[in-house]
Amino acid sequence: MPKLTVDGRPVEVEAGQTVMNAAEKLGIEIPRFCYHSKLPVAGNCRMCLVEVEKMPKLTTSCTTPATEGMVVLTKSPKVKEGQKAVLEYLLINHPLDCPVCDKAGECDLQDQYFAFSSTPSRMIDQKVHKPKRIELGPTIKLDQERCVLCTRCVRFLEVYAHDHSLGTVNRGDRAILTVFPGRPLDNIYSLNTVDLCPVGALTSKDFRFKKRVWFLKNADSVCTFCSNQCSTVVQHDEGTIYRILPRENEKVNGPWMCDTGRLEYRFINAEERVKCPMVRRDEGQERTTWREAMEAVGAAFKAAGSRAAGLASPRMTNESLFAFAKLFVETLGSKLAGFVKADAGLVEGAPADDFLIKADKNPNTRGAEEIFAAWGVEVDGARSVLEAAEGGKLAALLVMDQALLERVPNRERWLKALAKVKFVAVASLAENELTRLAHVVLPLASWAEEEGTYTRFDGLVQRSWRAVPPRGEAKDALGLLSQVAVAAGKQALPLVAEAVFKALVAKVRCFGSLTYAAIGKQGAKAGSGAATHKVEIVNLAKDKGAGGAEARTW
Amino acid sequence: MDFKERIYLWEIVKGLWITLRHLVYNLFHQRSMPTLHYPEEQRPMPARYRGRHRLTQRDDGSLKCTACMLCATACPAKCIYIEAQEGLPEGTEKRPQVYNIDMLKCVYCSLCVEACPCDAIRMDTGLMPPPADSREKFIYRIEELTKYPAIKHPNPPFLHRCGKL
Ligand code: SF4
Ligand code: SF4
Ligand code: SF4
Ligand code: SF4
Ligand code: FES
Repeated sequence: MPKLTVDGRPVEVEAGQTVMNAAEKLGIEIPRFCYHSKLPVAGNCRMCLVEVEKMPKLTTSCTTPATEGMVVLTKSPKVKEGQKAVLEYLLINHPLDCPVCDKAGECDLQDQYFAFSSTPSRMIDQKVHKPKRIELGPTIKLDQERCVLCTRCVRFLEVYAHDHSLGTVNRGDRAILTVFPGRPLDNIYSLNTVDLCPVGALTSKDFRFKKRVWFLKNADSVCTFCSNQCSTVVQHDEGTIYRILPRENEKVNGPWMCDTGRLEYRFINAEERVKCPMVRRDEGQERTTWREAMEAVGAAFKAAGSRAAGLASPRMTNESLFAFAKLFVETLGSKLAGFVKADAGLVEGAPADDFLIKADKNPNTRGAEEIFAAWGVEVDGARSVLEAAEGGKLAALLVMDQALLERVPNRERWLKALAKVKFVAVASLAENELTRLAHVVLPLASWAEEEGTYTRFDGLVQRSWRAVPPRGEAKDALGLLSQVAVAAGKQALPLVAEAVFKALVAKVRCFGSLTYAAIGKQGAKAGSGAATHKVEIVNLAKDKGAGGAEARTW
Repeated sequence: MDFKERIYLWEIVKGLWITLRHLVYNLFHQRSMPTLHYPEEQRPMPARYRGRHRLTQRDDGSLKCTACMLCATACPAKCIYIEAQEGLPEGTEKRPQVYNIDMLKCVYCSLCVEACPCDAIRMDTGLMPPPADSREKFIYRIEELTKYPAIKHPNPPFLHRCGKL
């Protein structure tokens, strides 16, 4: 373990670590463009220059191994001069079109110029111009003038996505980043390169020109597009979500996420969302008030008694699933409840791979299984609901997932069965086949509009914060379920996610003694000492078989 | 209050008398009336008056604005709303699709003019926003913002800023 001093402070690092790592350990900032802690070292930008005693020239700290007795200076006049020179070189041909550059505001070149140079340009000749609007593929546009040729994007794609489509060609001021002619960059992880790019060379077509980044506000969240549950940041402004970025979490996704998850916000902003409650009358569905809709729901559920049933979805939060199970088992006294898992083959999104994407497209399958088991609801509850509906035995049904019919393989059978139910209430985000056969449609808040926790397939419980207020008159699942309880003449359910989570921890053993504070931003597993339900083992076994769609035939 | 004030009537008559006096006087002395028949009649504006905004155009008529939103960022009243779109192949990469200024919110500070890196917005029309009967009509879109020419300025402030004068 070599010991060295950086800026006069002693530090000890593992063998094989670099001078950059040593400085980072001390919290000393060294500017960089090409270095990234999760990528192989390239050492091509020269921004990380430091002075090392007895070395004749400045050296790049990201490539220099730390050795015993090294004396490193990161802020000496010589280093400062070197940093200025490197920035001047990088900026010689840089277009500096910051006002129209999407990276402005979060651009490493901008920030480091102000921090380490701030000297005006001495360039008096015409800059070298290169193409500025190159379509690299379906998701990304490239501006070759802005590229600083750090090759972060190239390295990411090669190492993580096993995609060799990007590369640099030519030399000197003609060097460019490019793809092979006729071979676009089409990769499910492509947008990570946009995050990695230290400048505005790679821009996401989806976010391009939508918003200046300094207007955006952040909310920590969790991706609900597959059971990997990548930690995310939802960036929004004035109630509209503009983009989703990965949030670094070593236990889950590192600093990456897939493109499908990044675009998952679009249905939340969509105009076609159900914005107010609707009831079915003879002429079709009509807008109504919450009060009237809940009166109809209440009357139906009161009349139904134990012939009431509910279908939840493993896309719901742990808290909502708990409230849902409580509503049916405890409040309404009906064991006819279940959740309907989306069939992987029917959900948009890439098949499972060895990086992030998982086969199970339901983010919270494990949470749903554990919570329902704790309430004594059978694992295959949805099947019983289906059979009861087919037998005409159901008087009232509450469905908490509008996409139910789009994601089950046997939807004809579901359609026929649901038509036989006397009263169907659907809590939904969008209008579709299912809401059209509903007697009452209730507007439901999306995952970004409610707070809650999700259980990852490996048992990690993650928290998601509310980013934007619900659209229109939509209510979050907790509020909606409580209203159903009240309408049915029972006691209201708790509305605050944290309170529900406390009750959940007390009831569901496998959550151990977790609290919101313990989960924090990085998630936490229930203590290993806590006894877990056996469903969990079943579930883990399923998830190991990557790629396999768990098609159910019922 | 004394008795005369308490019965009100006397004070009302007094007030009406003053009004009537002015009315009759003004009827015969229209020239010296202190008020103007706005908006038909307007006072001359001082040379440095900041009028309603104008989006400047290039020679080919396209907007100079690149939709960088720096004006919207600088605006203290948050009354500029811009939606950007992909530029034309021959022009800049980015251009505005929607550019709205809510004149009811605007405080005429001209920070937007100062913030613009492209000299794309100026407040040199010398015009006041005319009265309108709905809020909607006070939201000026690209058409209204390019409708009026600049007034000839004796002392163009933007040229001062560029050091050209
Ligand atoms: S990459 Fe950075 S420095 Fe270059 S134009 Fe964009 S914001 Fe400006
Ligand atoms: S596009 Fe960005 S990440 Fe890729 S080499 Fe250029 S500057 Fe680096
Ligand atoms: S003059 Fe001031 S308040 Fe009005 S639009 Fe410009 S910056 Fe905003
Ligand atoms: S600052 Fe100028 S160029 Fe930028 S959006 Fe405003 S008017 Fe357009
Ligand atoms: S960060 Fe060290 S050379 Fe680029």
